[in-house]
Amino acid sequence: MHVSAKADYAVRALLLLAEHAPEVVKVEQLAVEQDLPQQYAEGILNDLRKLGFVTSRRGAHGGYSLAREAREIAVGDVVRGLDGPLVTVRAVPPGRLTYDGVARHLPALWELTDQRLREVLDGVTLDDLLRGAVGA
Amino acid sequence: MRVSAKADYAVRACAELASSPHGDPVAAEDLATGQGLPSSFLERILGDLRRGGLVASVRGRSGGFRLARPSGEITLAEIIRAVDGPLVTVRDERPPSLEYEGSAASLLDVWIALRASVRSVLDEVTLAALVAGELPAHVREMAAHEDAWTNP
Repeated sequence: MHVSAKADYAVRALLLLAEHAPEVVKVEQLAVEQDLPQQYAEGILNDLRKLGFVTSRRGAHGGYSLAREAREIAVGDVVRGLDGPLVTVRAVPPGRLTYDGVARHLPALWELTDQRLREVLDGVTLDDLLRGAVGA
Repeated sequence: MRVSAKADYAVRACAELASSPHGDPVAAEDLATGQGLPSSFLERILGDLRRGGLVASVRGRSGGFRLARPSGEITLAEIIRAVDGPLVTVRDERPPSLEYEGSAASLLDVWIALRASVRSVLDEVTLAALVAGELPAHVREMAAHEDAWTNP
């Protein structure tokens, strides 16, 4: 279960936007405040815009802002958006995937792991993180 | 986030070894065929498992691979760590190695909780339990709630 740098940066960028809301934040400011490489930040914000998490405004006073309320964005939504489904097993050629016999319970176990992950990630919103209200 | 094909294949190969009658060694080709796994990939995985002390190779005509320890003592987490490194990484690092400031400070708690949730399943299920379909009580509770033991 490997959370990519992209997903991690994406959550941090959104937290910064939530902190500054409703102000528009420039990419440069985001890059500096969270110690993100600027080009990286730009790419991620573009992804977030396409996913509907942020809106962008062009021009001299341009920048990014949250498109939704911080309490409506769960960490799981962001991680899935950037990294895909929480637990996947890379596809193998059709007819080659054998879960019969000894390994027959394994798919269900991966599913169980996925559910545990979702419980954690879908139970925490950006608002929770800002308030430091992340329960055990 | 993904369960790698490597981790999936490694667990399945170990499940085959756990089920070998009398613990007889199983040739790599038979493991590959038995579970429908790509041969050369499996060879690399068996190498990782051997270096991790989970399987041993047996030379000779009836040679192959066998588990190095009883299947009741090998957890799925150990198998996955042997081939794929730490169960949960963020930016390719273990959660405790990460540093967050300001508004992201609480994010570390989330990644730590994530790792705990994964461990709560994979550290608790042994190879023997997987093959027998017998889960520890608290894992069974999770499974019962979510109807998790029926395949889609």
